Amino acid sequence: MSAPVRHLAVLLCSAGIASAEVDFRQQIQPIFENACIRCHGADKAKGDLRLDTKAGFLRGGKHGPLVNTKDYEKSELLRRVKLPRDHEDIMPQETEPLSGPHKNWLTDWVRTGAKWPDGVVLKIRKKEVPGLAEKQFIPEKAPASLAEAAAMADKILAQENAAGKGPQPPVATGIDDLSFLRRATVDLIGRIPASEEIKQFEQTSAGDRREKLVDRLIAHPRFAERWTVFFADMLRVRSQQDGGPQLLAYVNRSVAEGKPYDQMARELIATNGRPENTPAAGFALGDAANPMALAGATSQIFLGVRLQCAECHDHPFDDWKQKEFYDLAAFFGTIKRVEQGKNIKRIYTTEVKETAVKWPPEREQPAKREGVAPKFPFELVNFTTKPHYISRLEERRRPNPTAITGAAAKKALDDLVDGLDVKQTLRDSKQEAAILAEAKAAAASSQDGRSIYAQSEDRKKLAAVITDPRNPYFARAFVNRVWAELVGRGFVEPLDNFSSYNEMRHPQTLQFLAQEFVASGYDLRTLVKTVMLTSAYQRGHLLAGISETEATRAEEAFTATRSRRMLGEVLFDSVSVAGHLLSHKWPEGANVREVKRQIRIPLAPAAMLAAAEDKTTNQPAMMAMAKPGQAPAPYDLEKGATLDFEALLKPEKPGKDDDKFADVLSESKKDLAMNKKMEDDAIEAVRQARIRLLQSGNAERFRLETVTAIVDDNPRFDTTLRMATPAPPSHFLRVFGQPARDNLGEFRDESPSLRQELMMLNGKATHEASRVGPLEPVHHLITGPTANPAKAVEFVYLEIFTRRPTAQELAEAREVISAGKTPAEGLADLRWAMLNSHEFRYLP
Amino acid sequence: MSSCTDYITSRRRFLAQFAGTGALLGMPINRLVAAIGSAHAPKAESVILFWNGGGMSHLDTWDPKPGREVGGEFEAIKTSADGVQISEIFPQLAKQMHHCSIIRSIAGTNGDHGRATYELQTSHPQNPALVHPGMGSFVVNERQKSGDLPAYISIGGMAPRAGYLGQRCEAYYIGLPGERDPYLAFPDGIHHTQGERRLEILAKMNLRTSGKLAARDLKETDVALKDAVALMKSPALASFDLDKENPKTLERYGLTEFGRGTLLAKKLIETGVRFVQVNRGGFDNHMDVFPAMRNHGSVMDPALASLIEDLSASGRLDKTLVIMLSEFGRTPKINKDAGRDHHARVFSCFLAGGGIKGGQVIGSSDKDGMAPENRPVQVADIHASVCHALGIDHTRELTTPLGRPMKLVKEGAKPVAELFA
Repeated sequence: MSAPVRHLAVLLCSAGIASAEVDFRQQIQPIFENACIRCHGADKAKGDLRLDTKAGFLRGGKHGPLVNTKDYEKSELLRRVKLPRDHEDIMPQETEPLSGPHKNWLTDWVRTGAKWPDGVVLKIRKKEVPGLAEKQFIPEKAPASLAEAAAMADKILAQENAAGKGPQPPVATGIDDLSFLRRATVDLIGRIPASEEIKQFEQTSAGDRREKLVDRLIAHPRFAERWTVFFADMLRVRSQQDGGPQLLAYVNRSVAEGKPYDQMARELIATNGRPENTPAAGFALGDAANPMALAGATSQIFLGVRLQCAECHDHPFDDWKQKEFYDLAAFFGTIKRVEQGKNIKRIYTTEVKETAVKWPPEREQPAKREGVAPKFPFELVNFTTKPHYISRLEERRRPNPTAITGAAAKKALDDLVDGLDVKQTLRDSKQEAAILAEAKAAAASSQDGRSIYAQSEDRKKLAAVITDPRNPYFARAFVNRVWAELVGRGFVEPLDNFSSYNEMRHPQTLQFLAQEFVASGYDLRTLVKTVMLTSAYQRGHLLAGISETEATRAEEAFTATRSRRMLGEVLFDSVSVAGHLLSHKWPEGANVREVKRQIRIPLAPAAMLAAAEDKTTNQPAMMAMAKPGQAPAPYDLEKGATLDFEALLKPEKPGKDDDKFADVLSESKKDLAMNKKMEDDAIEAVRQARIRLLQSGNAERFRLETVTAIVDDNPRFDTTLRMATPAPPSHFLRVFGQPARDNLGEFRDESPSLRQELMMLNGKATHEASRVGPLEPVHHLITGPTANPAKAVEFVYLEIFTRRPTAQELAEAREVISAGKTPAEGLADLRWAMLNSHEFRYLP
Repeated sequence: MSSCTDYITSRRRFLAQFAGTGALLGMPINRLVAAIGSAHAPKAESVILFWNGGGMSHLDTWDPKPGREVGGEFEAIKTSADGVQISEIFPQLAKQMHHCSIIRSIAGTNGDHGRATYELQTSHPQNPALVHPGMGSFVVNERQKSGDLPAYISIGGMAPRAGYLGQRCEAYYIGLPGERDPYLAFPDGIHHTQGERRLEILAKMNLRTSGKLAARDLKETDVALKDAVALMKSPALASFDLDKENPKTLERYGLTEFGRGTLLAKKLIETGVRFVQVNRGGFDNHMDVFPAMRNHGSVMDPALASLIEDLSASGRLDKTLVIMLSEFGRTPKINKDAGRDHHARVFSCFLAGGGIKGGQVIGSSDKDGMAPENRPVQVADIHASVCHALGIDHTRELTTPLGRPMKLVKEGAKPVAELFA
């Protein structure tokens, strides 16, 4: 099995597996441990029954065996838990009766044979932080370099593998230099290497060419673009949402500037305001500033803990209580989303006085509900002596007295602690004045007298405790995600499910990498580089012929990497790079041709349609009747709107009259007045024209006509990494797994599909990338006096596969070229096949 | 203009954000009996859902109030079903009403477009933490496709998302009915023989890679590739094409996107597609509701009437459930702009075929169409009824990716028994 577990979870649910397979560790063990073994365990064995061991369970108690193997429905276990609450035989007796789903799982488990994995001994649950119990392999001494850190990580990983039970996994060999170049370039800058980059790499001295390459790549401008995709998935950035485009641009700039991850997290958690001026506020707006949703998102995204289930009931397969969820949600209790203005909407978040988070939960219909005080449900780790990685962090963060003095130092510290990016985006005092004026005016007019930029003390505290280096979840959750993004599998899968009930592989390797990440000042590039230098990253795949069990064991032990497909964005950009589509590859006019298209000619008279068109919004007269040229064109699903990140991050410029921006409310009054003015005569005329059109019976009728147009087919594609995101549902990127980002725990769907194949086989991008244009370098190798087919084949192999062809491949490729109508067309056939191949799409 | 004038665009944007196969699960007869109290063998194999976005006036369509001030401009007309009257904007459909049923007592709870749309499409209330699958997605999760075409196709707009069911249950999207989908054939300029040659080169390359690597993904990609090539060559693709239709047929359904979409839906169902959603907007008539509804009638009436007539003539009507939904109805009170505003307390739904009993009206609204009078029907009961018609157990529990158990249809929903009497 090569697909990671997080992807499997989606498959499981869609097949409705809930009623078929039951996972003992995840579903049954928590029930026994929470509800049964306090009385039927090692301490007490009431009714002569022990449920903490397999033997005890199989033996049963004084009433006989628990499972009726002939007729599972008659099993004593199921009978007891399904009795009515007041029945004297009901189990459990000392705690609440089991919930509906718990009873269903027990039933399914018994029905499918009540399998208890060998050697699993149950203990009374005591909530504990997963994966911190052992640390004997983690060196006391701090590494001197990133290369040393990577070597230490590999060593810990090997020790953890050696200490594991069962047979040792098969080990794949390391990848060769060119494979490393391809893998690293794809992972770090989101496209395959171009031919000049291959040349540069091969000219670097062999000893340190890999490390030098990684340094070049993490400094590359596309590094921020590629890792914005990573953060956009993680944070569920949706550019269609209020504040979404600004949030995306903010993430991009944060990565570009190398903002420490803890600082970014603090800003995202604590910022209020209007995203146009404080873009990090887009994070809270993404969940409509709903305290419950924000609590679920915050714990899952930043801590890797799926607390969300505890919103409605105690967590069914973890130790989290519903009250703890409410305690966390209370940090967001006073946040409020505000929407003002009519034509021009102004949406922002602010704070109100009264908390919206109240206990007991509403669904219990209590007589009285009271506001919940914020309380962080996670425990910080206390140390007797300060660990070196925290000292190193403090050392790194100690303000340099010669560089920053007095007030400036305090301000820098405030910025760090407060996470108020409004301060950072204020580039000149004029803008600052305008924004402050806006805030003041709004405060004066808003009912509770608070500024619209009111910040929450509670959320600042929450942000501080979440990013505290003593919080055992924060750094590990992020390192786990980055490791999985690069190596193909996390230490914890699904990536956001750190739990005592979910297996963590190599906890010490994870802890070590997390410590180094903290010590680096939560620096993404340092973490990425460390992972890239490990031999775990640089391992190859297992070869054909190996069993699925063996392959899985190796991938779980990180002794082999799984076959990973390029992300949709990366695949598309790689096609563009391989096919030289980022610039025009034909001279103007070289591809002029006739194209035939069907267009729709309205049956209603043109004058009638024109009179009914709403000029103010430029809406066509009928929504079902798109204007000519507005109908979706073929291949639209490979295009996308590119966002201008820089423009999105510019605080709104005060207009000529500053007071226009000063008062949010008065502006919306102006909107109304302007609207009113437009409405009078002109709007009434349009209205009457619309009524006539609608009653004519012809408002939507049309006939089809085929027209011929002359086009110069010479397309140029933009990078997909700056597109509005997620793309529309049927878009290339979505078809290749870009998530909708509506749900927490929604990961990229990496499964192959028919639609993917259709879009690659017949898509505009692959087609155009295959054609050989005169402005691309291979052209002179395939046509004219300098033609050299063997060189041409070698060149396209390097460009598309980042390697040279074997002798057999070269011979076959030359046959393909000579079978074409012209050598250039033959080469296009070859390139088309290469771009569609497994080798192109899956990383070496 | 009114506060919803830009709703058309915002709804489009909303739907634009929205956009397989599954275990075939037969429902034992005893559970069927338990569900509606009578034995009824499911007949429906496929569904055509007409989604009318914006909130269609129930008073000007399925629930006319002749003689009342709220009744508005339109007359109620007699239909082929005894005692069933509908609005005059559906003169042709009136002749098919013996095949059709109307529910006039849907008790909605939500007057907001977004939330009501979500509830009508999924049966569940909107939840910030989880996206529930729309009707088409949960149907195709339970029912395998038959034939080469995708199981779930959405025409003329985006269907609701598949939510936690994932990519596999998303709709295949057709923008303009009859327009060629460029991804179903080799690109312009690549002739058949050249395309075939390219596929051969590709097969050779891929074989070399899969021969070396132990990745299961590669095998699955091979299967997807094989299916894609098969679909490109499938005769079933002709169903997407409307050019070869008799011009008279096209004219009968109407020379509109809706008419073409309805005809396309019928052809797709006949080719084995399980669920087709035909989308139409423009029902949010806060202003000038009567000319708007006159136009809606002139577009929808010929298409719906022809669809039911043709399905019935070919004997497919029993196997095809036709249903028309909108997120809510509109206020009985006619506002100062000669429009009607949002009204969720009661509205109607139109159904035909799929083994349901035709020619009947279920439930009623009060004399002015303000609230349910008899036999209130909950929104989720509609979804339970669709499941019931198909023989799907609507109480089935699925598990979300987070491991949360979730009912296919909202807990407590019941099929509308009268439909299956």
